[in-house]
Amino acid sequence: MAYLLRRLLHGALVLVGVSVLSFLFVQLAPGEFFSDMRLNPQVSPETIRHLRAQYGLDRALPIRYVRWARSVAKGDWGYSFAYGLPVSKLIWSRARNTLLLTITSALLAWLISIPLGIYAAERRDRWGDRVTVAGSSALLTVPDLLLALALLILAIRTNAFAAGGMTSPDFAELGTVAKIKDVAAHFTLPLAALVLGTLPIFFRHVRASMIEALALPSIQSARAHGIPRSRILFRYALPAAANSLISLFGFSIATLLSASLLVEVVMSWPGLGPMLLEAILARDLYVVIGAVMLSTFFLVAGNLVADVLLYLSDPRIRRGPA
Amino acid sequence: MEPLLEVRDLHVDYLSDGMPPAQVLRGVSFTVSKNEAVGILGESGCGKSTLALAILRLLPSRSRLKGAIFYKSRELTNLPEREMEKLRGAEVSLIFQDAGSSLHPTLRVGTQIADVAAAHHKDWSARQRREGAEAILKEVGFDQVERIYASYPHQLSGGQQQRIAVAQALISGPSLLIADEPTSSLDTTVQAEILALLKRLRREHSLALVFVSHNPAVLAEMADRILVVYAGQIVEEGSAQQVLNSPLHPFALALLRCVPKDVRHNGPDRLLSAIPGSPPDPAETPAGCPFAPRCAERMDVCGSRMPSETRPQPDRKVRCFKYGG
Amino acid sequence: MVADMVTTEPVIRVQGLRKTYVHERPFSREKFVVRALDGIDLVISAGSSFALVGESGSGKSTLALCMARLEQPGEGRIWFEGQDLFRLSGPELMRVRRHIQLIFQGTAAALNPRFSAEEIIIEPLRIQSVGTRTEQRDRAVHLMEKVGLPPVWLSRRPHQFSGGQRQRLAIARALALEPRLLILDEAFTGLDLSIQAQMVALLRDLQSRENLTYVFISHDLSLMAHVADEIAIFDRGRIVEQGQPSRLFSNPCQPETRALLEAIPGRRSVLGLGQS
Repeated sequence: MAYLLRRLLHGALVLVGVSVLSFLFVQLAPGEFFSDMRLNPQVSPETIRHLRAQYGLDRALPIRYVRWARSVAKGDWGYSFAYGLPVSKLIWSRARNTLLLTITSALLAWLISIPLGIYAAERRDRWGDRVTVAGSSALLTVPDLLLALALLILAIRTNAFAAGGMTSPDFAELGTVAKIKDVAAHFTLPLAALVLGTLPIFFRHVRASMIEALALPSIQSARAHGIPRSRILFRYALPAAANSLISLFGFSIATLLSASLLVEVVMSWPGLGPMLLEAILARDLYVVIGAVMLSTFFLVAGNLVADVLLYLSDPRIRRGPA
Repeated sequence: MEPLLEVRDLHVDYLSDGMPPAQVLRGVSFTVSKNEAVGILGESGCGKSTLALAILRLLPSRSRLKGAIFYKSRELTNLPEREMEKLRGAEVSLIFQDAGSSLHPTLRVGTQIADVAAAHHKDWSARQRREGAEAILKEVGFDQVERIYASYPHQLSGGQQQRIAVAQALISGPSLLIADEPTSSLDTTVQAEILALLKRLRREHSLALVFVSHNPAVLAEMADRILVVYAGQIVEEGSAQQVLNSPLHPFALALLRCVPKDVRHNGPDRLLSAIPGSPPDPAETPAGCPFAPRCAERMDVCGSRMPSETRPQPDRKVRCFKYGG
Repeated sequence: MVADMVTTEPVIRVQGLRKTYVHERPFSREKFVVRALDGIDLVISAGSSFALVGESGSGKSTLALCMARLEQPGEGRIWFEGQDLFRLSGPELMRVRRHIQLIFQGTAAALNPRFSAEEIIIEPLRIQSVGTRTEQRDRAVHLMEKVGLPPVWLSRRPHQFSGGQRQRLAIARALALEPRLLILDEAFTGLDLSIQAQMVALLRDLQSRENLTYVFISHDLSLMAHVADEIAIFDRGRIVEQGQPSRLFSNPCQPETRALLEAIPGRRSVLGLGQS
């Protein structure tokens, strides 16, 4: 129990630390939201000063931090200069779209890579293994950007998938089922890009952990007792491989909000990615910080989940000597 | 009477890329009768562990096996894998040196014993499996059967772990137990307990035993007959009494001089003799007797060719030029 | 390198040594208290071979670690050549550390697989800044010969040596700083009998030439009878009996000693293995 509490406290400290650091870093970037406006001769300096005061940009950094923290407590997480809305509302609607994409792609990637990895490890150095490893290597060497672009080109050329965006222009008029189908159609391409990008890494991990697990003396011993091969694979080898896979799983969770940024931007999927990019370019301060914080939260949560799962799965960690 | 196990001219090579194969076993032949305890004596790397694995066809994939192995007159080397799985654990069982790592770390030991029962008694219910596991736990000497059943391997001592391995090996009632240095990593007192356990179980279950060890003293306790192995070949064979009291082969003789003696009988001179040099590398195959470089009684002929097996006495075999060959 | 101390002072004197370990588990409030050492007194004279014999967990390794100043006792003192071991610090401690060397079981863990044999042997010299590079190299050659390994193998890595050869390498490294006391913790366990016998012969030879005192830790009473002048039987943190090997074997007083003797394989078999 004490251990768990300590980890939670540690996570909270990380979040606070990240918030301070992001404040500082955004501040370090030259320019601010109103820089462009200054260049516009139609806008008077008084207006700009007034706007700045309204948004508190004329105050010192620590004071701004405190005001932001208060806003977090209220649930707003600051205000977006560009949209004039509370950051929390803005981010959440976008984050939902991102999570839809990343959770599905993570699930899919795991569902494919686990059986494939087991298969490859079982048939190590034989044809089945060589083919899958070669395939994953090929995929790995292709940069994510190229992959996304290639898929886009494919979609446009063949007209098979909707390319870009999440919904068609006439979305609002569609019935519910049609709406779902529409989203799904737009969803396919970014999903494919993400899955193809992460699949080879997961596959290789699963394969490597399984190979290591299959080399354990306890496996040879189980064989010596006549336990059938299939049972050994799933009851003995896979749990032994679980430890390192759990860590990877934690990593999956940790990157749920950050992994898809590139794909979202390229394919115009209205997720957190494009919004974050836009906000950074425009110096929309609190949006940037809010998005970073949310991402960090997932990171911390992912690590914690991995730790808890590890604790639950390995009796050596759970209990000491009898 | 027909032997329980017969090994005929067994050759095992370990293959590695770009290098000549390591000839780990070079023509081994012997038999084990029902209820008999055969000791296999040799140094590290002589092939004795490979012999244990070869009988159950558990060799690593990069290996090559030639020769024949008969169990109850069935030839094992060509048996399909499914049939071998049925044989392992149910007819012939194997226990290893390091029991701790031969048990799975994340499963309870009771479950691991029950799993073996499940593999060979497909008709047993979960309850029967559990009862069978608890019964065998009692047999191997545990009192608090329920607590042990629920334990994980890392919670048990080395001796307890080896008892669990024995339980796994015996729950399906095999006729032959192969033990590969089962006590070499245990304390002397724990070793004595495990050896006593094995002796008792042998009697109670009419078990034949193949006991592999580098320590003649342990084989003095356990074996009826002893095979001395050097560089992948059997260099001497005889009853335990004969081999340990009056060894013929120079290697056996030298090895016995390495055993710590009872100091009461040795007076002030407590020196152990040593065998100079190290055991040979299986990857190298010099002409001549492999023991020649370390042999105190080396003759000229020993370097030129391999001695063949002779029978200087009935029921004794030796592979040395001293006795013809 | 160091002035010889003419002394009738014993090399090691242990008085009232006690040490307990407390284990805690994560996520739980339970604690385990283990009394590794429960009041140890002993004296080891210079140039002798002393053996601590007992089962695993009896406390003998803890005593060895305390003697090597790698563990702090809870109570009690240890004197090394008349100096209180745990009151030393700084340069004095550095000097004394040279004189006490430790050899473990399992050279796979004790020798850095990425180092060559030469680097392994001269590592202690480097740490204590002894000698120039050339002097260190010469010393390595000298030590290899002393332990019976060909100096040309200095460039090889540990995995290219056999188990017994690696143990010789560990001994060579231990001798690098010209120690006075060598502590060998289960150094023979896991080795073939013939290799064990070679090690015994080597150590015997080195003892007279290098003026060493040995402390052996082992669970193998029959082997210790061949190497030790004096044996202390350990059980649950205490010394239950002590004496010369022949006396212990012919006249064991304590049940723990008797149990260890009974456990020696082949002693009571009709095969005469007990006789020479």
